[in-house]
Amino acid sequence: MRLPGALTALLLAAGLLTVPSAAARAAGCSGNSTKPSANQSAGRRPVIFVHGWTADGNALTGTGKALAERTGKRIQPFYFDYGTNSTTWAAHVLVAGCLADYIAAVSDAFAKKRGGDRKVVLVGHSMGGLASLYAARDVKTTDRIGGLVTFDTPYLGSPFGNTRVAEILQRSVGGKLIPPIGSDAQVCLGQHRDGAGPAKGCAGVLPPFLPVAAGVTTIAGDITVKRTFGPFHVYDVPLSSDGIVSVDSQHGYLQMRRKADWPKGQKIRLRNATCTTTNDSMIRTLTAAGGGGAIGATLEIIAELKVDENALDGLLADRLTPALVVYLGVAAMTAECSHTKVTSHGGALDQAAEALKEYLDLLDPGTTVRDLKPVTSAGRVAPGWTAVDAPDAGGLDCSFNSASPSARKGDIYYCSPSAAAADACWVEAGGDSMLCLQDPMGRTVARLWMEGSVGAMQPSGPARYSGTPLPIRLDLDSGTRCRLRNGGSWDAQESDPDLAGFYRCDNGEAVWAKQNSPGIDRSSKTWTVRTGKATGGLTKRKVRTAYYVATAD
Amino acid sequence: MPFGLSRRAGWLALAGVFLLTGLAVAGWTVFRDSEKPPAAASNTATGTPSAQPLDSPRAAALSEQLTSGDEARIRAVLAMPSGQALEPAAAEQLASLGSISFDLATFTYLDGRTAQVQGTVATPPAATSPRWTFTLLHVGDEWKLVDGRPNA
Repeated sequence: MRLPGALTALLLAAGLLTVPSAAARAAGCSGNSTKPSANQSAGRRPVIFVHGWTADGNALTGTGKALAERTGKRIQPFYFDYGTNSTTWAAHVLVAGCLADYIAAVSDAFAKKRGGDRKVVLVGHSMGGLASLYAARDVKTTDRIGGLVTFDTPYLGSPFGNTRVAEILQRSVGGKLIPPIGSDAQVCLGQHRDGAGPAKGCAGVLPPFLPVAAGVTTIAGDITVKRTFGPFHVYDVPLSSDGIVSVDSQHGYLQMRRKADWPKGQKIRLRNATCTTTNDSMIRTLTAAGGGGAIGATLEIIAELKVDENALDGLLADRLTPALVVYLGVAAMTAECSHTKVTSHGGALDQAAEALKEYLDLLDPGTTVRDLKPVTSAGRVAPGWTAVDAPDAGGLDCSFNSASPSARKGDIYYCSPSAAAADACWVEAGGDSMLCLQDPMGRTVARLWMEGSVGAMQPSGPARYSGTPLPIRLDLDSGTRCRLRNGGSWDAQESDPDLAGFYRCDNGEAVWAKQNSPGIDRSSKTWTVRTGKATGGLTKRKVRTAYYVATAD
Repeated sequence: MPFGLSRRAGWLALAGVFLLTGLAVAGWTVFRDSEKPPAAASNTATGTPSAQPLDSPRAAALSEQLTSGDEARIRAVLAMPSGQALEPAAAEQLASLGSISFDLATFTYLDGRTAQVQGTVATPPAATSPRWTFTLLHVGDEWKLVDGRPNA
């Protein structure tokens, strides 16, 4: 019976698991997924939700909304829908292949909106987690996945795949709620571990690991049945399962393969979403359903389940009886962290939100502030820097003791004229010249000489500070580098005459802001600026690194 | 069985499982190899009562032993795994019920070897009804208690 099924799976696999033409793939990717360009925002990271077996793109909308709230709306949910193929195994090109296409499309739309990296984060429920891994095989997704969170994914299979009882139940229930006998889904869901490969007859290969840079968080529904008698607590039965998939399998991302093949340095978080149901509520569910012949067998399970010596694991692995199936099924229907409910379980959502926030922080670490220190406190060029004599700019005047606008402390001066680009200058040892950081992109300081008689235009006292310092250099998330403006006449920005150019960027654009404003929005940990040319619109950009000037020891 | 399916689909699946588990249990014996079938699978296949109703002597024994405060005697009447430890306070809490008077006229089969019966506890926990519903499982040749709860 199983052999023909396996053969069928193999034949199917020979035709279907190979990569089809783009046209065939496009025709099969017909789900009602969120449009990749919908609601894209530079400030919100796309998170793609991937549903599980027999579900569709609507299954995780509540989860997406809840996680958007829990992450302070730092994510933009996208719902991948493979409902028309949702009873096909995750590795199939009409699931994983279509998901890879979708990841690329969402990633491209995000990059178009925001610039910079193209990374998206994936959240998969059940088989959706495996589909996410299979999708990562596609070369177009390799550098686009910034992390993965899975709810109740059967990394090591499930007793509901490729077992005798699964066969019996499938024959009894029919349809596709249980993977059809002999289908690649039914066979591939069989239990496996330590690189043993998917169950014999599964034409698919084991899912690949994600690239090491992408973190993986596995969230496992873990039901405990509280055995009560009236209001009294008699004992607990920890199922170590969500009713469908064991906790071991839900956390089995690494254990899919041999230890020698595990990825080095990948951050993997294992989190449990625990909950309790009572035998009382299970019995009520059973009796309300009429039960047929199931009640006696199921109550016997209640009476027999042993929680010591991993007896339950043994039952799940080797002796999954129909009565135990019903018992687990009733537990799954009554427990809030069960396989079908975990994506709306408060504890699971908290765990997922925590993981997402960590991934968001890694992908958007905020603005880094650094100091450029080209000159020592003794007035000498600091190690790693060189000084060159600047062309004569008509003499330098530093006698008004103004502090550099890019210094936060110390005697670093602003000198005139502006044409000398002398807005960050130190008195050089010897006292008759200044060392000025004209080009904050390089490692050279310019030696400029005083105007008139030697020493006449030197600073006469400590630098005087006023206003909020502005970085001398900004590195933006687009890769553009911008230098603080130092005087000069600039065109106005056509969209608003009150805007002034604050920085000149190496792509020909400028950083614009209201004339009397701080120039940079520092209201969040990632600073932002608005960039563009004098004509045309402006784009909000994140500041990756801001450089001030300081004096070396 | 549901594998990432929606809640509605899950309930449908469960309903299907309930309806056809009897058939599945019977079919199980055809497919079984090393595993043992449920001990009384043949009884559950039809739902026909295979045990005599609860009688007075057994009802008295259930009451006396469940409320004895002695773990071994509780185990003799409470259907539970042999190796499972009771919660430390359970025996004393069960004893606090005093005694149970089963109303044998209310005895109702759920299926061939499960039943429910009404009873009255002598000293019910605070703010609960003294009338309880008890669920019974026929194990070997006698009825054991699986569950009991105060009526709403």
